[in-house]
Amino acid sequence: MRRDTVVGLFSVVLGGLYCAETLQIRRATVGNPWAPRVFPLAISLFLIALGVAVLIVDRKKAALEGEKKGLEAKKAKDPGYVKLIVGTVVLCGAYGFAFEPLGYLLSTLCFMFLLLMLVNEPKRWISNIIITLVFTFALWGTFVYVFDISLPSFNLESLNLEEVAGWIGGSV
Amino acid sequence: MCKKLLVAALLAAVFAGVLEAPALAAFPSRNFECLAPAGPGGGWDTTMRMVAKVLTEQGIISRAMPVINKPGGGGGVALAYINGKKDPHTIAVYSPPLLLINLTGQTELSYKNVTPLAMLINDFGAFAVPKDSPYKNITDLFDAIKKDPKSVKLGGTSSPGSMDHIQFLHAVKSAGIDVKDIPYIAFQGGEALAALLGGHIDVYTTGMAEVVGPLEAGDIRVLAITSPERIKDGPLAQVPTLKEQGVDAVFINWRGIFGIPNMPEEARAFMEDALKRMSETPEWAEICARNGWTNVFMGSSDFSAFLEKTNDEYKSLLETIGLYQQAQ
Amino acid sequence: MESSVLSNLLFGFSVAVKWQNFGMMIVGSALGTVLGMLPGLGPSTGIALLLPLTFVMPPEMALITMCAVYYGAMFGGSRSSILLNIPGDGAAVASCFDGYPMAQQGRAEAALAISAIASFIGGLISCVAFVAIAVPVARFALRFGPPEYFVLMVFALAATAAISKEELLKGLISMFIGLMLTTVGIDLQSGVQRFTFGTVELQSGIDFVVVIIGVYGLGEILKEYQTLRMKGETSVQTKFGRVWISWEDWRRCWLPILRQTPIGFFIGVLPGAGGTIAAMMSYNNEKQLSKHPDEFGKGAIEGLAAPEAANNACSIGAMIPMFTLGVPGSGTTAVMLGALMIYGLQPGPLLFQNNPEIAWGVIASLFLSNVICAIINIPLAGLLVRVLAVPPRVLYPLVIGMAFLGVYTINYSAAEFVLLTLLGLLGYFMKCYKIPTAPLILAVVVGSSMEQTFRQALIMSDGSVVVFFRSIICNVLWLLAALSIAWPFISDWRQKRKAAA
Repeated sequence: MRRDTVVGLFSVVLGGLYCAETLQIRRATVGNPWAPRVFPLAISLFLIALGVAVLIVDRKKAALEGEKKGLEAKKAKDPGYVKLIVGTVVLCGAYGFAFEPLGYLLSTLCFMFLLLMLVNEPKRWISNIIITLVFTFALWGTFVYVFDISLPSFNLESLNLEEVAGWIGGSV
Repeated sequence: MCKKLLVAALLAAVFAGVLEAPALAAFPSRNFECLAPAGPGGGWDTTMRMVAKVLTEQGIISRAMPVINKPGGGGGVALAYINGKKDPHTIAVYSPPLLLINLTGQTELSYKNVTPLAMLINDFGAFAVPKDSPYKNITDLFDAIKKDPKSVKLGGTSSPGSMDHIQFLHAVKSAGIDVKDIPYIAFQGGEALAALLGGHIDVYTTGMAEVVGPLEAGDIRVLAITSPERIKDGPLAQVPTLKEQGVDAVFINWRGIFGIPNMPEEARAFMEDALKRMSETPEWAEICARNGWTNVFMGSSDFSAFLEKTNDEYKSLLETIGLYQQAQ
Repeated sequence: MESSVLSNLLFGFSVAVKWQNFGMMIVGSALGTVLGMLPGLGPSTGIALLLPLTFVMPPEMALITMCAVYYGAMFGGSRSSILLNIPGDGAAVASCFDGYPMAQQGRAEAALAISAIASFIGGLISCVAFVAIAVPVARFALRFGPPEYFVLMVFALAATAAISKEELLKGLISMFIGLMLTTVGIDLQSGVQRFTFGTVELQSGIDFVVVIIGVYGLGEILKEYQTLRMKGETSVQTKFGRVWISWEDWRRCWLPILRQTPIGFFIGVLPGAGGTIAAMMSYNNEKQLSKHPDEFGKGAIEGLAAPEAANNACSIGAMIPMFTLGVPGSGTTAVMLGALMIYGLQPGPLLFQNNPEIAWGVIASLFLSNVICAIINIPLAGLLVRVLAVPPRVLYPLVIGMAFLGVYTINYSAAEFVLLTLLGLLGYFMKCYKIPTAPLILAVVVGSSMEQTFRQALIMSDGSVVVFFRSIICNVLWLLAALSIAWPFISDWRQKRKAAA
């Protein structure tokens, strides 16, 4: 598909979904009951209209220069980039879930090391370990001692002990 | 298999050991997180900062007490936040909106989702107009509202149905005037005061502390305060109460400190005691005097009973105004 | 009158140069610069964090320190914009547009230098303006009510969306996606929850810093992954020059700096608009006025100088409503105002009568902090620029790690990490499909106040839209908004006519 075809479709679909969600908003108990919907509704309509406009312009261009032209010569890409992107996104998500229960130090050490192994390649594992340690403790020192920001420490409450026990029992 | 089990058991033991340690540590075991459920500069923010300041400066609490602003939803955002906390080192300041946002259906959370620690102060509302306003006193203003409710634009720093709004409607209703159609505009932070100074709203309904500065500077006029008696000194001493002007209404803005839901007894008792000791310091008395707050300490259990009673009162007030709604 | 201002100012300097105050100014400026450089930690977070530390100081020293931190953060905010294409806060977004291309072309030294120089000049002029015309400007700013703010936001958005006419439609899509993000959370005018999908975390809305770091920072890195392994080590800069600018650079920049400073200053005085709007508007304005607008976005040095000057001018302007009226002009000054009240000082015009040592001491300290920040930043930049020698395969993981920690400090919640990741993917998608990201960022910054002022205005007028045309300010702003959309077409037409003739 041509690049702008995707953009146009994306805008139309996003606008549509957003519009559907807007209609679910609860009526306001004070003032005009519809007031909270007006602005989102306007946004969704604009998104749909703009998406359609992009599609129309794109069709015209496609008719002029042929279906393939809009793809233009792609810059050469490293074939492994998908792995990097997916890996980073998965690690980032996992970091978010691990940060509070495991605490800053443990989760950040794991996160940084795995991320470096992914991006900086496993063959540089020694430098990866060093960078991870320096980064984690340097930032920790800066935040906790210089800026007086408390970072989460290993927190038992967020870990469900029964769940852990059940998991251990289950593995027997 | 046996080895695996052993490793798992060992791991569990290590974990349990690590996990147990902080639980036994005495409260407070780390720095606090003091929530001001509004933007910086308002009544909640000021109260929380003063409390944190006196508690730490007087050495009552040795841990740091940074104040964090969590504005939004008339306090609902901070309420949801503290309700989800499990660590008792988070405290928050609240006042009537805690009950009101629940009664107007904005959130299903209520005063039952936090642990009342202590009521600290009573404050009162103030109704201000620009210095060149045609309204010289509360009677002028109420007459204008009676004639045409839409002619007076009311502004405040919280969402509709919350305290700033309700205290004004309460006064208007007490004067025997229909309150249905008075337009109310919600602002954030200092924007409402700027809007009043610029003449974009006609009346600013707010707390007393917010009007002292511009009143002293002569930029605004305060038509009335909602206290039962006049304030004894400071610039507000010249401002008449509602009662003096023939409107039989009082609106108390109580403020207290709250902890997380189901707060551990040890932590609750510690905080109640710390706040009691704080309320008895001369520094606290001086802060109260300077801000025109009445220093009233009320302990945890009395405060809970007070909240229950007040909640019923607000509920009936909101029902008559037509704003009461069950959260969906 | 003038002589009394001068003698007051001299008195202020005598307070500011006391060694304790002067020392704290240096510490504050340095700390602020570091805070500003870290993604996610902007001036207002910085000041709020330092608030407890300042309790032990006398009030004038505390305020001077806070101002220095504020100021340092404004200087530091653009470092990571230029070097990594990751803005430290909203006000530094516009510095990415030309600052990062400059760094990529091996002109990082010049970019860092002009950013410090433009900040310094913008700040200095604004300090003078502060002393000379603070009161009348603040009074004028009060004439901005909800309708005026709404039209101002429309103008700012129109100007940014129209920044490139080829991408006008996609720019608008980007803008509306940004506006969409701001509707998430509890609605101020009604208290109704919108688009929270039942999650507590979304009730407070999506913080714009998360959007900036996600769409710009993470999105940029994900995009760079495409060619990461292919570039090898060739893209790393190994030789560094002196952090300074050439005469030719200066010749191009002095006029943009001078003419964008007043814009930034005035936007700062408005209580409802901030540094991001100031920087974006001055960038757009400079591009429109420039003789070679096609160079903008490709490393035009004046495209960096203009927003830098405006954004520092804005930070000085923002202090005016606080000092003259007791109204906070920005998130940062709101925190300072809260601090003043903790000391039992009543902010507002009476501060000059009751506590002249504080009012004038702080004003004098603004002049001095400005100089100190400029002095700190030039050699510091020489050090920072070496970050370009770090190979991307190491740099990117480090930047991602810092971004997450910065985001954590916004709400002290790791729930935003997931949001940050999703926004990073959005940024990646937008970059791949050539949707400009600048309109989205500005929309995220102004979106919420745009909707709120729109509805405040309608409540004021009882539902009549005539209110948006009620004043000269409104109408002028509408005209400017229309002009800024039409401008690319007008200049196009003029060029064609010239070519024909």
